[in-house]
Amino acid sequence: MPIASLTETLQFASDGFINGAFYGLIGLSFGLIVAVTGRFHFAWAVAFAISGYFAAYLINHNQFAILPAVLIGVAGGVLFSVLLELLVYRPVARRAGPNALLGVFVASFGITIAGQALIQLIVQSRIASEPLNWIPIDSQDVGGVTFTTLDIWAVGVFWACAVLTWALLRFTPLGREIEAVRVNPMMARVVGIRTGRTYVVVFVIGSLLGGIAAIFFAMDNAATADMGTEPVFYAFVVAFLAGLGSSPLWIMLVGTLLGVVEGLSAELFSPQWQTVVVFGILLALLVIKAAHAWRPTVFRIPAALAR
Amino acid sequence: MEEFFTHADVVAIFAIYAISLNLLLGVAGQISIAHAAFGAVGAYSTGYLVVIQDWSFFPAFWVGIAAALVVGLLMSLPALYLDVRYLILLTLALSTALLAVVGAIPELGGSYGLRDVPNLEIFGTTYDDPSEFFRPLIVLALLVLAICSLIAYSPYGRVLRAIRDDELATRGVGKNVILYKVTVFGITSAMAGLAGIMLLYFNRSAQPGAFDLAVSMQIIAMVVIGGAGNLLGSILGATLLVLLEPFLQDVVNMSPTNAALTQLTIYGALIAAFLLVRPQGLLPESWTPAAAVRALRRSPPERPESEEVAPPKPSPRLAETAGPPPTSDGGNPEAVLEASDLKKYFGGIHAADGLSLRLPRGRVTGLIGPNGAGKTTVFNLLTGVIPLDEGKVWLHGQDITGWTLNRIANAGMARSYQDVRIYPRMSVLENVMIAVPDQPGERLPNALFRRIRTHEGEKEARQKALEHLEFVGLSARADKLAGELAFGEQKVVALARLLATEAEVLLLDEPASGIDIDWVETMLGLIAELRERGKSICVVEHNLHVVERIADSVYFMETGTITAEGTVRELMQQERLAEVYFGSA
Repeated sequence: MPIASLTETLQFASDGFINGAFYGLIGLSFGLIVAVTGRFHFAWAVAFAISGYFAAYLINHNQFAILPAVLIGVAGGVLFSVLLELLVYRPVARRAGPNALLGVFVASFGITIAGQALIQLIVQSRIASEPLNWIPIDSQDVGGVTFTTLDIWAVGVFWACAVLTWALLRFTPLGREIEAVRVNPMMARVVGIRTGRTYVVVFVIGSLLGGIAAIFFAMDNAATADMGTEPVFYAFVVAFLAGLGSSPLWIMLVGTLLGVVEGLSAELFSPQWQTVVVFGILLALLVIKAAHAWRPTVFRIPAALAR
Repeated sequence: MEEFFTHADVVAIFAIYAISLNLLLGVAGQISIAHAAFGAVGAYSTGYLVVIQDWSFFPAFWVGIAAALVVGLLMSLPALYLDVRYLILLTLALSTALLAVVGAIPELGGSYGLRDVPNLEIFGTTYDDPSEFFRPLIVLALLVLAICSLIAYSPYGRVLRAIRDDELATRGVGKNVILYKVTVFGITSAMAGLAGIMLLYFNRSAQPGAFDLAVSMQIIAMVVIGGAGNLLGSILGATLLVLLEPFLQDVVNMSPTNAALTQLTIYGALIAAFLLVRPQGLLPESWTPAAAVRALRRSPPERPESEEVAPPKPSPRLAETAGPPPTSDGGNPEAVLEASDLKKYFGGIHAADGLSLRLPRGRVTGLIGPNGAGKTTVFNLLTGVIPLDEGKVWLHGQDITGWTLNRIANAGMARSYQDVRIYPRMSVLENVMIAVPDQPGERLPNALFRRIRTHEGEKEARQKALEHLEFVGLSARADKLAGELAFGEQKVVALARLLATEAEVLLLDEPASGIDIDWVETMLGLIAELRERGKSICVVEHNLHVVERIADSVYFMETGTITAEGTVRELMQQERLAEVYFGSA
C-alpha cells in the first residue's frame, strides 16, 4: 500500500514516538525486575491495573482528590508486587529449584488470572471501565501533525522517569548494589549485600515505574480490570529486544523505535497488522538469537541481543 | 443428558490438549506456552479447507494435523538453542503472532473467526449433537492417551525424562537429544492441532480467542494441578478445570458472569497454591492406579528403614590392585586417546593453550594442577562439550575433533562430572539403564509399534544395568529414587552409569571429592578394578594421595598447558611444581 502523504507519515511516526515512550517505560519497569531478580513477573499486569484502576475508582466513586488517589493507586500496585515477591515468588522459587523461572512464571500467570477476575468480582456492580480525568486532552497541531497536551506530559514524564532510574542505577550505592545482584547474586551475598532486600527494592522501583505508566494509560484510555494485559506483552517485548540488564535510556530508545515501527506499519499495511509486525520482529530476532547460539561464528549478532 | 455430553465433549478436547502438553512439559521438560496456538493452526487449516474450499472432513483433517506438526517442528528448531527465558518469549511471540495473523486475514474471518463450519461427518455418519459428537471424540482422546502413554512409559520416554532432568548428562551417555526434542515437539503439536480441529467442529466455528494465551495457560494449569509427568493427572486436571464453571453455575447457583469470574479466580489461585504447597500436583509422576492399590494393601512398616548406608567394601582383589602405582618407565602401551595442540580462549583467558596429551590403553592417567589450571575444561574440550578453537583429538586413531558429546560417547569415550549429574527423580536402576547403548525401545517406531522387541530390549538393558550395579555394590538400592541416596552413593551410581555406556575410555572428574574416607576407598577399589578390566581412565582429582594410589602416570597442568609429566612422587619432588600446586590449591 503506497504512503499517502508526508503529513500522514509524520502523524504515524509521531503517534509511534508517543506510544514508544510508553513502551519504553513499561519495558524498563518489567525488564528491571526480570533482569535483577530473575522473576517472570507476569502479574505486573495486575499491579498495573491496581495502580490505574483503583486511582480512577477512588476519584470517581469515593470522592478522593486526584493526587491522593493517584498516590494510593500507585502505592497499591507497589505493595501488591512486593507481597507477591515475599509470599509467592520466593517460596515457589525455593521449591522449584532449577525450574524456578518457569515455576514463578506459571504462578505469576495464575495470580494474574485470579487478580483480574477478583477485581471484576469486587466491583461488578460498578461501571466496568473508569475514566481518569487529570491532565487535559487538548489537541495540539504542529505542521498538520496533531497530539494532545497529555501526550506531551506523558513523553516528558516517561523520559524523566527513565533518566532518574538511569542516574539511580549508575551513581548511587543502591544502584551499585542492584547491579551487583543482577550480575552475580551469589558473589553479591558473599560481599555482604542482602539480595532478598535488593529484590524487594527492585520490585518497588519496577512497580513504581509501572504505576506511573498506568496512571497515564488510564488518563489516555479508560481504566479497566484487565488494562495491564496488553501492556505486559509489550513490556516483555521491549525488555527482551533491548536486552536484559541494559541501560534504562537504551530501553527507552528501543521502546521508542518499536513504537515508531508499529506506527508506520499501520500506514504501510493496516492497523490489524500492527501486532503481527511487533511480534513478528520479536520472533525473527529470537530465531536469529537461536541461530547465533547454534553457530556463533556464522550468525553474528550485536552483544545486546546475545545477552 | 445433552448438557452432560456438552461438558464431556469439552473435557475430552481439553484432555487431548493437556495430555499432549504433559508429554512435552511434564515428561520431556520442554516449555511451550503456545499449545493452544498449535490448536489454532489445526483448526484454521482444517476450517479454511472445509468452509472456504469445500473439502471433505478427512483430507482437511489430515492437512490440519500436518500443518500443526510442521509449525511445531519449525518452532522446535530455535527452541533447541534458547534458554528458558527466551523459550517462554519465543512461544509467547509465536502464539501472539499466529493469532494476530489469523485475526488479520479476512478469508479466515478476521477477529470474528471462521463460521458456518458444517457438522462433523465421517463415512456418511453425521455427528450433530453433543452425545453423538462424544463418540469419535472419546476414541481420539483415548488414542492420544494410548500414544502418549506408550511414549512416556517406554525406554523412549525414559530418555525424555532424562533430558528433562539433565540434558548434558543425557548427551553424555550417547543420546541424540536434538532428535528427541524435535520429535516430541512435533508429535505434541500435532496432537494440539487435533484438539483444535475437534474444538472447531464442536463450536462449529473458530475464533482467535479460543486459542489465545489464556487458553494455553489454562492447559498448563491442567497439567500443573493434575500432576506434571502423570498423564492420568492431566485428565483429572482437565476435568476439574472444565467442570468448575458449570459447577458454580448449576450447583452453587451463581449467575453466569459471577460463575465465570469465580472460576477464573479459583483456578488462578489454585495454580499458585499448587506450586506453593504441592508442586507435584494431585497425582505425582510415579502414581498409577495399580501402585495406589498396592500401597493400600501393604501394611505400614513397624519402624522406618534406616537411611544410613555403609559403602560397599572393595573385594580383597580390589584392595590388592589398589596399591601403589607402577612407575612411569613401565613400558609404553598404545594410546587410545590423543590430543594435540588444543587451544581454547575465553577472551583473554587461555583455558587451553597448546595442550597435548595421550591416554595409554589399560592405564590410569592423572591430570593434576592448581585451581583454575583448566583441568575440567580439558574434559569439556575432549568430549565436545565446549568447541575447540584449535587442535585435534583422536580416539582409537579416528579424528573426533568437532564431534558432539553424544557421538563421542557412542564412539567409546564417556565422562563423569564433579557435581554427579544423576537423574534424581529416576530410580537407581533407571539411572544406569539409560546409559545402555542400542536399546530398541529408544527408537520411536519400536516404542509405538514393536512392543515385543521393545520389551526384550528392556529386559536385556535391565540385566546389564543390574550387573553394573552389582559391580559397584549398589544392586540392593536399585529401586530407590536416586535423589534420595547419599552423595557418596550418588557418585557410585554415576560411575555405574558411566560403565553402562560400555565406553573404553573413561574421564573421571573429581571422583573422590565431597565423599568420606570409606566411600573414597570404595571408589579407588572400583577404579583399580576397571583398570584391570582394560579400561583406559583419566582422572582429574585434587587429592594427591588419591591420585598417587591409582594413577600410573600423571600430567601436571598450569594455566591451560601441560608443564610436566611423571608419577605424583616424581612431580612433587620438583620444588617449583610443589609450590605452584600447594601455593594455589
